Amino acid sequence: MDTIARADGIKQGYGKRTVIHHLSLEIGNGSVIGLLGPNGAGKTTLLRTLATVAPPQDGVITIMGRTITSEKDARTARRNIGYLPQEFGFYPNFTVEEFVTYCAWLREVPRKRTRDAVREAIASVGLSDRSNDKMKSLSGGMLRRAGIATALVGSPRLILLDEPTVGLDPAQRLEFRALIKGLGDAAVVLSTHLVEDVSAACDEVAVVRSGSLLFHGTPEALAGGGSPDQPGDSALERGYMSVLADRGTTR
Amino acid sequence: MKVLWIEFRRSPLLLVLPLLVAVDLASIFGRSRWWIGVWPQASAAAQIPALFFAPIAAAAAAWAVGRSLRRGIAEQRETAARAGWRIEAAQFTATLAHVLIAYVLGAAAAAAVTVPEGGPGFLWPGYLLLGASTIVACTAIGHAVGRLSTSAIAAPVICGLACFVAIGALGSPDQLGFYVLSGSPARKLSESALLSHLALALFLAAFAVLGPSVFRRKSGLRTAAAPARAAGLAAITAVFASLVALVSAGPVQVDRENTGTPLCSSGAPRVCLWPEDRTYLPEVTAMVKRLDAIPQDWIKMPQTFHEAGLRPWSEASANDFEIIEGNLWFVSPNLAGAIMRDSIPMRCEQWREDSLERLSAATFEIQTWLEFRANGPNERKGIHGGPPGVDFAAIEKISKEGEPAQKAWVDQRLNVIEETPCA
Repeated sequence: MDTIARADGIKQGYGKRTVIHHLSLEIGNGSVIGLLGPNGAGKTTLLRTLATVAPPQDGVITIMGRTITSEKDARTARRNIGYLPQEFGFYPNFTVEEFVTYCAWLREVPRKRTRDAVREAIASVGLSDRSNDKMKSLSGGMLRRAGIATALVGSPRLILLDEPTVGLDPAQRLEFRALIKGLGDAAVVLSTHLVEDVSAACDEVAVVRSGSLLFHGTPEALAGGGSPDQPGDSALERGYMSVLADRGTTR
Repeated sequence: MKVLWIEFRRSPLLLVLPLLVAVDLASIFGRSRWWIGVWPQASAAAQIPALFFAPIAAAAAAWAVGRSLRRGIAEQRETAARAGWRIEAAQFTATLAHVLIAYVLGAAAAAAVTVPEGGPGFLWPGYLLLGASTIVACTAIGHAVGRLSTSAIAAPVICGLACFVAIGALGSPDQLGFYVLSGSPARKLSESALLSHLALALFLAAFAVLGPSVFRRKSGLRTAAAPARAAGLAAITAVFASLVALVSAGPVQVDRENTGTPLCSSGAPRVCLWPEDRTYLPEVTAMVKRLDAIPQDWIKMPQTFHEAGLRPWSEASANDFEIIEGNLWFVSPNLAGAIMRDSIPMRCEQWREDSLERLSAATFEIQTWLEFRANGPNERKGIHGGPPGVDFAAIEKISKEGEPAQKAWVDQRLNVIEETPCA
């Protein structure tokens, strides 16, 4: 599997507070990586760093073979990155179609492709019938889906989703998982609190705690490493809890 | 372009656009209508709303730019492939467009009512550009400052008030000239002053959209590309340079050289005015005819009454009439002054100190009486001021009495003037 993005020994933080400690992660083409970790583990900071929002304080980010060392590199990379931040902001007066168009424009989706790309993205999250509705008229779950559409528009090669299933009802979560599976060769990194999202949609899982990568492998491997003594309703949950308890790193 | 249209169409400012248009039309037509039919005056009148729009634009821009922060769009913008200045420019342009649309509609309305009786020419673009530059400059200030605050109230209020105070305190035509109140054809905009205003507006706009590239925190979010940062720094430098140019450019309005042929009435005495003021010719001619019809031998009518600026300055041109802000308030005092100058020769270089008060009162009363006669029976345009104790009502009353009574009243005052001893 070709590598589409890589973090090599990155250190990241805010001011004097270090949030990520020399973390390395390789993201393969077409892989769907679930980023698991407790609150404050550094999942959002890692996604923001991969999204080139914040340049790492140390280490290197490589996107599609290009090492990001300047704003110019970052802007080139961003054309191929779809990013849904945890706090999804939107203009309430825009329609869904207008807001997704705006986000396509931000990502420099070619003008000729924009119209179709916007419609495809909206259709993929099941909001076609609401595309002319104002953003402010959408429910929380619909807003989340609209946010996902902004990340998907223009078919980026790397999709970074921060807590994408928050606010979705069980049926919508099932649809979301199906959507993620159907994204073809785009690589997806999604952070989540829900282990079942990982088991259902991801072919890789990365466990982060205190800014360090504790585990990166398949969900099966994570589940297989679980101790029966750990709490959890599923083998994957027990594996996740075991990793957190051990603080060991498995690759 | 599509995004600009979306930003424009979905901006809450669109809801207040009708209000802006109403303010525009009210400030153009509510202030006076003397300017209708005279292109330079219509142009100056169409520029007046910029006085109100500039603070509104500053507040609106501050509010609009803060909206993306308040709505949490910043994160999406930070991860944009699109250059930061282009994102800023789209938002800035959308805000500016709302205000400029109202401004342009007002100018179009001013043009529409002026066309039927307008003199030569059309709207003078300099005045419209001056108003537009004031609007752009304040929009840019609002856009730049509004980014510093997420408050929906504080930044807009501060920016709006700051622009309002700055324009009010420093913007008059004899100061920094952010606006003009009158567009007499005898005056034109100084090219250097207008250019410096346009440059300031342009560079402030550049700074507003490039500013984030300059001030972005290095350790923070998106870092700026070197060219954008350099352009931002250049814009800041250019803003200061254009401010210096603005201060040193001198008055925004300067005298206009008369290179054409004045428009004159037929017959004698003639009235000559700037061709652009064609619409005022009948009324000024009527004033002169009323004066010419006074049956009193002492009155020596000048052969021609000139509008100010038509001929080079001299003692004779000191009483050339002025049409200020498009109205005729100051015409009759100038006409009366020209008659007084030609009809009552100065007998003395200096007058006796103890007779001065009576002399000036008598002189002023005759001149005021002439003004009433010029204006006709029912109007008091521009008649005010004068020495203490002057009874305007009494003068107006006498100007409506029979000619013999008026002659007797004037003769009394002429006697005072003639009998006043020299020093």
